[in-house]
Amino acid sequence: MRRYSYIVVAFIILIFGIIVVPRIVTRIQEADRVDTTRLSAQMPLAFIELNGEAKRVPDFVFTNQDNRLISNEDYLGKVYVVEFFFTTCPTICPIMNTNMKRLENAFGNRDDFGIASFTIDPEKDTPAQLKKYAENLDVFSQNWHFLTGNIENIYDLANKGFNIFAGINPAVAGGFEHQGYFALVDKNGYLRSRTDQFGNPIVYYLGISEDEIEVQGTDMLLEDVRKLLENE
Amino acid sequence: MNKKINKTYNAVIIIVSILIPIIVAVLSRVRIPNIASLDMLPPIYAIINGATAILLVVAVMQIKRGNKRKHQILMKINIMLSFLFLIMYIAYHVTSDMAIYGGVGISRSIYYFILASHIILSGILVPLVLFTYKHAAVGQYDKHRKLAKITFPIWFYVAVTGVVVYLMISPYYN
Repeated sequence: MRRYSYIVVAFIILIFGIIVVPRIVTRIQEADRVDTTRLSAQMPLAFIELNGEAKRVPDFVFTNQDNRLISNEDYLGKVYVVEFFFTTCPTICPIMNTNMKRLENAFGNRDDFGIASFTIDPEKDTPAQLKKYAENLDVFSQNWHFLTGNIENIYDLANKGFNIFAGINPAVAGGFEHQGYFALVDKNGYLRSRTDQFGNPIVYYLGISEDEIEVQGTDMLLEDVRKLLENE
Repeated sequence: MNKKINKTYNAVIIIVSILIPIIVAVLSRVRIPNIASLDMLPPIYAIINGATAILLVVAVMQIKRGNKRKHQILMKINIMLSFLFLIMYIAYHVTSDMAIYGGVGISRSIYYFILASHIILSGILVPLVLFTYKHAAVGQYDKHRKLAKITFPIWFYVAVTGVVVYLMISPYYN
């Protein structure tokens, strides 16, 4: 029998190899993939470039819920998150502001963090209405401003300044159309974001997504805000 | 030996050698729609290929030691294994979309070189095996030995590359 043991050994190696080697190869390839996402999580956040220039938030001046004028300069030196919403919005805004609340809970006590929530329905959303809304949300941060003003200026800022679509559409619930995006702005007023696996900036975070780092939701935004606060 | 019978054998071998590659080529292009893929087959026939490679070496060692009987049995097993491989190969390819090798660079060239040489040599292998077998079956051992010196390395190469091709393509099976 001993004379044939090498044949048995050869067969065992063969069967083992054919079953196991492809799994090892697949595992190694998947490990590479995981590493690239980890890498993008560790890399500094990208600037959003438009025509070769890093996109900066344009100048704006609006009125906040305390009837104070707030401009982009008030946010200089602060990392801030921008959203477009309206107080009577029945659909996505409640989810967006629940997520925004998570950001406030995490960073709301810091002077170098802020939130800018622009209303896209300034006719109804007067400073008084915004004040009520903020109180309902238990907003405590000194730097979370709910901003209202001239409707054209707001839509210009949304569509040209941030490229976040906002428009009047009586056909949709609430009468206004907008995207549930959050934009991230650094201390110098530049739009920033993480990059995807191809190295392109994801540009926006999904304000309506609760978590799931993979789908650029609030968990990812929390990480990236922290990165900007701590590293820059 | 009866010359007439010999000629008949030769004719049968030649016809079979031409038919098998044609049948395989035609059937592997056929794709039966809406059928569950027999995707458990590739690892099985890869193992069969590897088993053939091992048993070929054992069979050669046996005849070198003079164990004619064991050599015969092993070679018959090898022919059956190769036939089994052929059946499974066709069964897999009529039920599944062909996997495309996703590697790049040098590994891609190596893969396609091995695959092409594997396919071409396996076509040549059919008549080689059948003639070698026939020579032994009719007792023409001189001819058998001479031809086996060509058949064995080619068969061994085809069997081993069958495993190699499987290992290289397996990460790209869906």
